[in-house]
Amino acid sequence: KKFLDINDDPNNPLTVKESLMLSPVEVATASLVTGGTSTNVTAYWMQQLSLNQQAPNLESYYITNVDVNNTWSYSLYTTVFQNLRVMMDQAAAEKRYQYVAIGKTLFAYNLAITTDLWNNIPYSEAFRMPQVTKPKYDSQESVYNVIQQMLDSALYYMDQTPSKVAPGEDDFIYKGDMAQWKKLVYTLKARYALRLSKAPGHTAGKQADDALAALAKGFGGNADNAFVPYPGTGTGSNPWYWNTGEASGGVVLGQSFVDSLKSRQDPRLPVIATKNKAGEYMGRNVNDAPVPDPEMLSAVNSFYAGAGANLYLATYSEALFLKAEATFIKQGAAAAGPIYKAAIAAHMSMLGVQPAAQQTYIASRPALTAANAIQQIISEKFVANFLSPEAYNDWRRTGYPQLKPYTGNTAKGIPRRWPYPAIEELTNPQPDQKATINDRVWWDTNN
Amino acid sequence: PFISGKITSKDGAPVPGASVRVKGASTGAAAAADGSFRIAAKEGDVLLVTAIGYNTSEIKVTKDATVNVVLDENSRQINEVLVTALGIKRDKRMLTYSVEEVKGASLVEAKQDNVVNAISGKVAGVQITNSSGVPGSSARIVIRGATSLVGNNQALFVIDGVPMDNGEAGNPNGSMYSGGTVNRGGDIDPNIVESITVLKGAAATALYGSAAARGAVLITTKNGSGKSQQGKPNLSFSSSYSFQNPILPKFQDKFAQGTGGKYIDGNNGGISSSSWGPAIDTLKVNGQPVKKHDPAKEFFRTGHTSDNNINVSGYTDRSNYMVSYSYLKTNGTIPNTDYSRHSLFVKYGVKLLDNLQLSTQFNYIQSDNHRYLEGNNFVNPLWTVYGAPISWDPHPAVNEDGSQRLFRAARNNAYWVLDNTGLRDRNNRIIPVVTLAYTPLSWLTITERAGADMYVTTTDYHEAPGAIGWGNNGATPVTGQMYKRDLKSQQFNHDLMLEARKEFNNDLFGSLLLGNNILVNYNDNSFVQGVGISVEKLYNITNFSEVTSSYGYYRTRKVGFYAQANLEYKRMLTLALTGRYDGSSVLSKDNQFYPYGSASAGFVFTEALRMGDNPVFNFGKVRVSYSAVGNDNVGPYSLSNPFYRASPGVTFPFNGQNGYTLTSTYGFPLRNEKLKEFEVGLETKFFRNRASLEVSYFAKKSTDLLTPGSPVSPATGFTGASLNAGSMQNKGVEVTLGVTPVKTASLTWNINVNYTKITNKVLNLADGVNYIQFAGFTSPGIFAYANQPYGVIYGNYYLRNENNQLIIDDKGYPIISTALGPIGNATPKWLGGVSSSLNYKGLTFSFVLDHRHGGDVINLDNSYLFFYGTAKATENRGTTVVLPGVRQSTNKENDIPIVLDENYYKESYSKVSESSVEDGSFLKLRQVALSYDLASGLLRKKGFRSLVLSVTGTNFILHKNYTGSDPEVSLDGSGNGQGFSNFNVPSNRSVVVGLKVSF
Repeated sequence: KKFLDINDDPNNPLTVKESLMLSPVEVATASLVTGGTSTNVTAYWMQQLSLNQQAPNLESYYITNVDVNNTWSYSLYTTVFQNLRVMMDQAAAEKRYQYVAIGKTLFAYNLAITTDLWNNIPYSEAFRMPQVTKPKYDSQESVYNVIQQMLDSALYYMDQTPSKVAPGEDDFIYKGDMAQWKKLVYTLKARYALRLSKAPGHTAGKQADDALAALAKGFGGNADNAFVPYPGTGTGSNPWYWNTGEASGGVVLGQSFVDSLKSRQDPRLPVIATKNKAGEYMGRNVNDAPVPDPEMLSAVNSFYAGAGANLYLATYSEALFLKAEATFIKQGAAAAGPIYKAAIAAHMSMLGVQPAAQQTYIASRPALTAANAIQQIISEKFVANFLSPEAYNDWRRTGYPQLKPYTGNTAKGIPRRWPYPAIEELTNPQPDQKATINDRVWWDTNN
Repeated sequence: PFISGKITSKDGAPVPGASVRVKGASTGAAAAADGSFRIAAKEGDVLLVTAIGYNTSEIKVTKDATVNVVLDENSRQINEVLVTALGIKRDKRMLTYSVEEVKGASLVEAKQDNVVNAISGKVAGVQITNSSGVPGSSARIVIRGATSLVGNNQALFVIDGVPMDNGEAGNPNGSMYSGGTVNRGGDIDPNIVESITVLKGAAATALYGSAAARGAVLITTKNGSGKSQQGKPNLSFSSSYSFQNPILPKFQDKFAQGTGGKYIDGNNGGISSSSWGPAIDTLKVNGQPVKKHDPAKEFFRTGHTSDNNINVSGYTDRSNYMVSYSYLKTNGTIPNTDYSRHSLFVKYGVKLLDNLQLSTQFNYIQSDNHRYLEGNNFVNPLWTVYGAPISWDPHPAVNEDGSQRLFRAARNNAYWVLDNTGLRDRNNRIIPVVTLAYTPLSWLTITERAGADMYVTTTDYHEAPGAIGWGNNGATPVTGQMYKRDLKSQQFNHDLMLEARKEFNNDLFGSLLLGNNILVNYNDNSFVQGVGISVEKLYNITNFSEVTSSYGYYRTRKVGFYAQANLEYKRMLTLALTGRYDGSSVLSKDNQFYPYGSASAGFVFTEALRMGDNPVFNFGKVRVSYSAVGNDNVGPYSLSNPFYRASPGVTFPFNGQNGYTLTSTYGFPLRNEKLKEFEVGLETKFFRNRASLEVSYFAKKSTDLLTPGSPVSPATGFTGASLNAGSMQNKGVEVTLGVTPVKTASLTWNINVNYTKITNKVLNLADGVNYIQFAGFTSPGIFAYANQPYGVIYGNYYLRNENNQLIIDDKGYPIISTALGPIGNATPKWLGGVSSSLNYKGLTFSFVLDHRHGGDVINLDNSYLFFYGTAKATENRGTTVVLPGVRQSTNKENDIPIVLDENYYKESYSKVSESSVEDGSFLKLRQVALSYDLASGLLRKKGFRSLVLSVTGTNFILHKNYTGSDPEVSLDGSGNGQGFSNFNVPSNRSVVVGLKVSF
């Protein structure tokens, strides 16, 4: 009998320290979620990026339930959520509260991305293997409640007596600095408060109040930006380096995006885009046939897509745009104007644009008025949130920037959500799964 | 006093197992493998020598202590001694289950590098699929259909009683992105094989324990006895040389590079993947006609194989020996690809005492294989060979600045790939076997057999800077890379068997076997990858700036206790019982042990009816068996939920930190798979054995299938679970017909026909799960669906109405589904083979025809080649058609014409996986051979035993509906993901000339 008892895995551990779990989750959040398939697809739909291939494809709204499997099953629910869950349980038991706090922050961040893509999602009955194998779906409204509670809870744990076993180098984002994490939590609270500005049962005023209250303790400068740095080595590169690289099959910049930067003589254009073979900035229109040589189109430049580029999860610039919008809602265009300008400047500084060029550009922008403020703010935020999932969320919430959709066979307008993944339909059938990509998520009520 | 001697037939061959008794006494002895025997007898006794297929002989003992007996063949009886489980030889007449044998000579004749391919078309109930035409490719062998969902479905390989590894190491990047590697059974040199016995049903294999559920292939090696005369060494030498040409798919040869009918000049810096340009015949650049290329023909070359074997053997009455050395070298049809194999085989058997026989053997095999990545990888050269425009000159492959010269973006120049990448597989293997048989009493034999199978496989891949990559982690670096994997495998097997044989009287014979088996397996897997080459072209791991590595160690152990009892009455009725009790380390502790067994019976009704002399119908047997066996078809360490080193889109360690993520497969407790099989068979012989017909029907059902990745809702925190789930069923008919229409002293003509029809069905999967994926891409993939045959091809498709008519949109195009589902099935409907040989004096003509009916293949090449416009069928571009179907908007028959143009092929046709699914039926003339034995006439007296010259052709006929090279193909190598092809190296047609000399 003893002879057969050799089935304990000598290669892999059954438990690991929190630090060994945190690092991969942070990278997963950056490489698989924020810089992953989901943002790649929504960046097509937002025409920031374009796929120089024959339609129908992901860019032209041909998205199957298999295309979204990986984001749900591999990136979010297992690699991020399940590992955070295990890490937080272990850290809470050992009173290593900094890990609990970071865990809750990252959990909330990823949970928002999940519900923004799929609306109702499993949460309350999730992560209970083997007791619950078919977790029910919670409403997006309840998930947003969970997100805010989780961020509040993160703040609570940040104030507890720190453990000596604390995050440091294993925390790529802030090296375990709880003050920095706190600013991120407040910035995120504002992001998710304003997300519900038009949600049923919520008022823009109340959401703006919440956002402003949070932002007061949020990011105070570009030094606070939350990002994951990449060493740029062969196996440690920024995901956009692969997503837009030579082997990506022709991922280039979208025409409306490039043209809008060109028409405004935006000094950020050379930082964001590469020139094509002919020395011009040229984006691709989703309705055009693919060009044979993708080098005739502009690609994403190295600030965002270099192998060693940082991948931003939230920026000071975004915080200012949130503040500008909330201020406009509460106090009107005049009060929002300076904040809006500061927001543009913050992004330009992040990109290394010289102050003089910043001022020239900002001066050329029309003054905010009651009529144009949301459009101006969100359209500028759209540039600052280049390759961020927030661009798609803001478009759904506000309708800006105005985009001309693909008109081919698969077109029924720009999709307003993702289909549920095939693996969920197979293993956990739920009535929610009837939703099509043209159905809206709960908070998306904008016309 | 003892009498010893040797029992032979008239032609000098030993008669192993012949029974020797002293007339009137109850003691007896059985002849050993070389025909020798020893029995207590005194002068004046009469020895009664009986053997299956021979007339009984009575010999009076004289004062000589040695008595050699020559037996007369009995034409009425059948003399087919077959090797059965555990190497036990039995008379086919008395077997209660289906067994087929392939002689070593016919394996050699097949002229295949891989011995598994040499069985193709020869045995009913067996499906063999060669994976690719690349040297060192793998072949899959499945007996009586797949029984396991995700585990191994291939037959167990046994060499001289010891299980051997027939696994496929596979490529580190996975088969979809790099193709297969050789299956380890391919190491076996056909020249050393005496015979291969195929045990099909569970009743035949139950003694083998857990692996038995999948059938068994028993390889028996030559032992040196029986040839020529005793005491004299035999020397034989054989050599063959072959020429191989690829069976290429057809490509369009009319239209140049470009799009919309406009030329894009790749030769002068133009970039386009499309061959949708103008007609090339009238195309001129600067007034000069554009040269037309045949990219595939220019790329491939004629392959060559040389195979040389030297063999020395001999025997005396106490010992036998054989030494064989072979060297095989194949140069593939793609430049720089080759496969070479050294095989040294030494066997020595000796009678240490009169009742103690020692047999030792040792097989050393070294193989070396160079190839390029196959499958869906940008560094697969075939991508840009099959996809190249005919107007493009691929040379030079490099620009003046050192970068690749390309006709299109995002793919490599095929010739650059040849010079700058490569995959090498090396293997060193030893298979030693020691058998000690002790016969303390004439009816009792105790055998200890110990064997091992040990090998080290090194796989390394290199890629120069500048490669456009795709595969591992979605990308390969542009800074040059290499990886190297060392697999060390050690398998040890021990069997202790106690066999009692007793002839109670002339009518009743009984045997009882008791045994113990221990099988242990140790595997080391170390992998190291380097990125960022420092000094050009030096592919040593120390020359890379960024190095990551991993290591794994795996152990499994099994113990088994078994028993088999046979009772034979009047050579007419056989009853057999087997039982086995197995323990396996990979199962849950409270489910480690499980029993199983079989019961079977055979009845020779012609004996009961006294028809043995009937000139028309002289033999008939019915047999029936039922067996219930177990299987531990799962890898070690499947029960726990460990953390694995993280790789979330980057490789850890990352930024100086190591990291772990929890497994995504939840481990439930596991018990063994179960398989129940019922088999009934009829064996008949007609016209004094000139014709035979054997029919078997079987029905088997496997349940509690071990499923390590059964999908669960990812919201549980896991994407899969390891559990016992699902069941599968196979029902089938096997027919073997043998006819010898002509048999005279100088002319013999044999025909053998086999037919197999297996109906496979996956009955159910894990609770609430309707389908699971086990191979392929996410889409298209290879799936198992409840209530469908195993091997569903899954992907997107054109929408159809309930009458299976296409639904057409208002522009006249079919509508592509956004859902995915079954679009084909890889399981064939039936298989058939015909082999024949005609022997006239020294001249032999033979052939093997093989047919597979049905079984779909997804030829993913087409989804690219129709897009690029290089597929032959795209020559119809410009044709106007009305697609048959129903308009979605009006529900009326479609009447809108569309043009089959670039737009159609790109936007509609190639976007649908369904378009790439093709019928995998084929009819192959696997081999046709003509040989002449010069020694049969003129040279006999000059000391030659034989001198045979031969010419063989393989694949001269390949009839198919398939647009790729050969529907017998598998990107997943010998894995379960059959029916998937993507830029596999094409199959070959070859001509082989051979010479064999024996002295």
